[in-house]
Amino acid sequence: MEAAGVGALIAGKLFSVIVPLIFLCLTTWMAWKIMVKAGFPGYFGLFNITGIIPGIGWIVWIILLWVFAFIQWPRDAANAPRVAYQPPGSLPPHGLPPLPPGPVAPQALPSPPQQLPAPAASGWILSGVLPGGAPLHFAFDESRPTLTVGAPAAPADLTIIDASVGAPHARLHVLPGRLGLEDLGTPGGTWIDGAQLRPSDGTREITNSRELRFGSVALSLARA
Amino acid sequence: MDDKTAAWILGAGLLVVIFGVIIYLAVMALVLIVPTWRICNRAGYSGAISLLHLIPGVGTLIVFAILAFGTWPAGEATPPGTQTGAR
Repeated sequence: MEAAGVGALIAGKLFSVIVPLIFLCLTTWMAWKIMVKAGFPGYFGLFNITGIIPGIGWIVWIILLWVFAFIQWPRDAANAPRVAYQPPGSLPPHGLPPLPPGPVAPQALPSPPQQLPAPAASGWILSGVLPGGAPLHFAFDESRPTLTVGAPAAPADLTIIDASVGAPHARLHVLPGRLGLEDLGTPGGTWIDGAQLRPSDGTREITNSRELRFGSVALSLARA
Repeated sequence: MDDKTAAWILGAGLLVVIFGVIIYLAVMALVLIVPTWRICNRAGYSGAISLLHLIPGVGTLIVFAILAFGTWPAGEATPPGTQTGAR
């Protein structure tokens, strides 16, 4: 009879203390890893411990969950393009920022060259491999300001035959020396260097990006 | 207690249970599923994963495990020291 009482006590402790403790340790470890993936210090995951504070603990935990869901993550800041894309017409005509005010020492201008240098190459190459193994290679230049990327079900300038690619899927905006990308809202999604581009993001500059993903098709971006 | 009274009590109890479940789902949706839906989306997963919160007991654990141990399709923060050079 007494042994049964001790057994019940141990079982009660097991379910009231030990199991919740294991659950807490496990979820805190996972929260640590999630924080690291989002770009925060891992110890931010210790917020999970607030859940065991009696009374208001769960409320604090849920408030912190909401904060985490809606604040900007360092991962997003690191993946965001440094320069906002500017539509054609809004670029300064000379393409250079104004000189800062201040005294400038007079200098003799060099004599003009006999022949103007050739303009820098402004073409681009998108290359990669389809999931089935077929190679893809697109080369384009600034002769067309916009190019549509998509499956062959609809007219597209760059056609990708893959089930994850929409028709149309995305639009490339080509400017002299600059390139922008716009997602057209297909389920497959569009990624720039691992960060998802959403239709609500509008057009993002990808001049300095290295990898674009349309659905499950990853393509490397390079200058021609 | 006659059969009619017992039936009334049983029916009322059933209604309370159903109402309780609806309230539980609504509260869960508001306080847990909404932020988790957004977190899953930002990680590149379907927001529907957050519906696992509706599984009593282990639902939250499963959502945490997916986010913690899965490779985020939308990309993860690069740990210091592993960044590659710019093109």
